[in-house]
Amino acid sequence: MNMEEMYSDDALVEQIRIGDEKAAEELIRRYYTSVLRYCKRQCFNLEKAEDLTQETFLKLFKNLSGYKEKGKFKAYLYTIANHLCIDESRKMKECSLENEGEIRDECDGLRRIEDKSEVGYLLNVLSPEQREAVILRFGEELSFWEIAKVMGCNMRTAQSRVRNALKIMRKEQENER
Amino acid sequence: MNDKELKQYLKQCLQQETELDKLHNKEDVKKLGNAGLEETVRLCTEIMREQKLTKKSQEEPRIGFARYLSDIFRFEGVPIFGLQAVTLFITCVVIYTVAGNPSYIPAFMPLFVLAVMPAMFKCQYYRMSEIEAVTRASGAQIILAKLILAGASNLVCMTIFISLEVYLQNSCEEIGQIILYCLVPYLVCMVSMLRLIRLCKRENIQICTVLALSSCVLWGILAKTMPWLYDTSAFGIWIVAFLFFAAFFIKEIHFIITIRKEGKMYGIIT
Repeated sequence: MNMEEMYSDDALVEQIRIGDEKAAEELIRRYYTSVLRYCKRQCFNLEKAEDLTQETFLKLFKNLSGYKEKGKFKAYLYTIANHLCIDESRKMKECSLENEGEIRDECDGLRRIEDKSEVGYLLNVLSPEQREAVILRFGEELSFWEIAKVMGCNMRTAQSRVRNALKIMRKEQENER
Repeated sequence: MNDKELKQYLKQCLQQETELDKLHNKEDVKKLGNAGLEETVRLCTEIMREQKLTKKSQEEPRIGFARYLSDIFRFEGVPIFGLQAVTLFITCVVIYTVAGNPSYIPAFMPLFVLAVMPAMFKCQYYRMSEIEAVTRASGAQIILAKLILAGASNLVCMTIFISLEVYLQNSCEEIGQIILYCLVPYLVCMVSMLRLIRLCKRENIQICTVLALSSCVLWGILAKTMPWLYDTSAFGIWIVAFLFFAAFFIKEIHFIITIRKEGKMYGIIT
């Protein structure tokens, strides 16, 4: 039985707290790809996503003593990633004032890539909050409670974001026909 | 496509995308020679080692809420209790000399809330909320500590006030009513003040002052114009009002206690 099967996230966190470097490596390996994927979805750039992922884990390890909520590690990790992605998008907005044309071209290109699939098209119809809620719910399979934690809202808001997103997407599909 | 089908479709597509992404990411990671992942592991283990070395020097025992309350008492206790004592003295003098009638009691109660205001709004008045926000105690914890101090002083003052009123009435028959006359206006003003703090209005100090003073006048007018409101038959109205505002007050206190644990601010950072 390897470490992955043996320990839960919280058990690994406990091991890390007492200085177990193997546990740290296991925890990073367990979530590195999914955090990278999440960041990539938010910033559409692999290099930037990698930087954000690394920063997420560095922040996690620096503030691991602040993690006290047992069984909520996934939400805690995604919340850090989410905050970093928001900061990054703010920086991009500031940057867009200087290089507006260039950024617009880049965004148009990304939108075209997204439009290639119907899911991408449907997701583009949604507001950023609704899109994020749908991705977290159906793509990352987070519970509503975890989505609420990540997005910094209450559970009912997370539920209503997903519900409204589904309504909008269904309407959009009907209009398409 | 109904909701169920749409959900399944999204799950399928996004998870297919997830699988593709996983492969894609694996390829990317391989292509980069696991650089990102390895570097992250290295940096994180370095942080762990650093923390291990500095842990002993950095560790400071955290203080509990009781100790924090005694600490804050040194700063806020004297002004809170002092102002309450002054208010109590004034109200007692007025009650003793002018208005012996219990129906005038509610008109004096907002003054006790008014006396608490300087301490409650201190950080907003001096634009010090940011500094409070970065202290080790959360904003909610600071408000809760001040509320406990204010509540304790109010309790003492009201007990004295009620005792005086009972002494003036020469009977304990109306003590229930007198207590309600004290508590209902007090709760109305307290709930309003807490709501104003939470609503983050820029002029909430002025609004709260006007609200407290105008409620004093309003209760006075009510005592003068609607004496039936203070009859024994109107006892039920006061109980209902008490229960209603007590529920709001308890809800607000419960909210503060909840967010205190999460280390959040109560109200805005001015």
